[in-house]
Amino acid sequence: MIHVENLSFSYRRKEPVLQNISFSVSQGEIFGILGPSGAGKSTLMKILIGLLPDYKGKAMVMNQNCNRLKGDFFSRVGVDFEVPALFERFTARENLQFFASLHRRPCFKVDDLLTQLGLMQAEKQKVSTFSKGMKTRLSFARAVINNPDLIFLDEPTDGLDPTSAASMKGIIKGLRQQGKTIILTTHNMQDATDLCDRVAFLSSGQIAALNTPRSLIMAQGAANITYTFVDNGVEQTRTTPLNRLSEDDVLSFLVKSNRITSIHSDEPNLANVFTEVTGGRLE
Amino acid sequence: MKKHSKNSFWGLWGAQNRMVGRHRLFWLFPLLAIRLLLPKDWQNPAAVLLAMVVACEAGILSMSMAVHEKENRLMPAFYIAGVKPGKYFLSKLLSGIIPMLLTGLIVIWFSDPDVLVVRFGKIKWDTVLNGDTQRLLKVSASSACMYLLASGFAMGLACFCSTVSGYSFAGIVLLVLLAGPAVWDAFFPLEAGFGFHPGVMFYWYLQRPELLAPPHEISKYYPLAAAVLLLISLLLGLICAGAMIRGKGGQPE
Repeated sequence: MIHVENLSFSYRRKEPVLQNISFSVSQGEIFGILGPSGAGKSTLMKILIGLLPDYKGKAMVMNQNCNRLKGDFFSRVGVDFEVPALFERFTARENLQFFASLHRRPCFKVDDLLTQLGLMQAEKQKVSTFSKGMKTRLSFARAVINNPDLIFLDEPTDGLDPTSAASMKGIIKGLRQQGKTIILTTHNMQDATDLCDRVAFLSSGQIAALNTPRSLIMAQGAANITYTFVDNGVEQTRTTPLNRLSEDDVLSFLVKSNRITSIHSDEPNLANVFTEVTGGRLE
Repeated sequence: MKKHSKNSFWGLWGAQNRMVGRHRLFWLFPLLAIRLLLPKDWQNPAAVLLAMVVACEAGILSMSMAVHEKENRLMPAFYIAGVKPGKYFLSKLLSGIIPMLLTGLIVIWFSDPDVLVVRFGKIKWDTVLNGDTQRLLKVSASSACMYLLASGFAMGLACFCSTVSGYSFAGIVLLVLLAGPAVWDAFFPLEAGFGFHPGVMFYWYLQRPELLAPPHEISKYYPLAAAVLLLISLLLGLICAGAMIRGKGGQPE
């Protein structure tokens, strides 16, 4: 679906934003691009949708060069931008009807989308009165209304409450089950872990790591067990790797004598992995 | 699944009319003022002037929606939906052309109802076909041309203005530049055929082409100059529409 090879890009008279990036995305995959602000995530997305044609290297989407997109490319793509792209003075229904009218291929029914995203009750409200979360949901509906094969999502759960975020993730997973390819740009590690089949860490315009979330986490080494106990009236804390638990004689003794006061595991996550791999923080 | 439209043009057209269409009715009030308050001699030139000013204002107002769309980061969404700059600009232009033609017709009819006499539900065709009706149609065509002229420049302004308030200020300046000379030309047409305003001069030219006859050789190029100006304006509008849709589009890095 997407093939990128040695892709580099720089804005006029500025340092390179992307340097020699290479990756491929298969159909039906959710591919996460993770990185802090300014890492080049949005620039990469703009190149892939043809907004920045002056790049170096190779960037192909649906067998078309990204600097010469034509034909039915745009009817097969949906993009949910980080900032909701909506008519503030139109209602939710009017917005979706308008964007549906721009596409030639059959679109999802507006009623279905509004119901699925929990916006049916607000269908006649002007978007200017919407909360950030409602705008995020409506913007998502706008992006997918043309039933696209390839969907770019930029921070799709930004501003959503936990219930709405879970609902949104369910919808995204449902789209994957329908065979849609999804490119997810985010710095929310939990979203990436929950949703993505593979993730790429983008740092300073380069891919620092690319693999499944599980593999990246496991490559960081085993989880640690931290436990506390009281010895001679003083609380003490010890840490031991999960895969060497049986070798910890102190822990075995404390378990047998019921002297452990607390115990918890400390598993690495994508944020830890990113910090480790890139030396930066995901903010 | 549902098929919504055969062509994105109609979607853009509909949104344009939905947003700014009703604002075009404002000219009905000065129209009544002309009819009720002005002396008879002033009514005709005042109506011509009004038609020109309304056309300029409508062109600027139509393109204000482009700024609204920019502010709401809609340009990248249009690009992704495959909206071509030409189609985008054309939808904005054409959404105002028909109202402008009607404006011209109604303005003259209100200021001089004898132009089109309707009695007992029947039109007096001999009146319709006489010279007054030609005048009516000429004002109508002139106001449509004026609308196109203002629209192209207004799209240029929309491209450079990032906020509606900034655009409003620039729009007022443009309105004064385009409509100001119309005041002079409408009330004091020069017998020599020289004028300052393309729209009004176009009207006078159609009304009395002998005004532009020799010995004033240079004046015969006036319609050509107006046509070139119109073409430049439309090209500017098209280029600026393309710059807005295909540009960075407000998507932050």
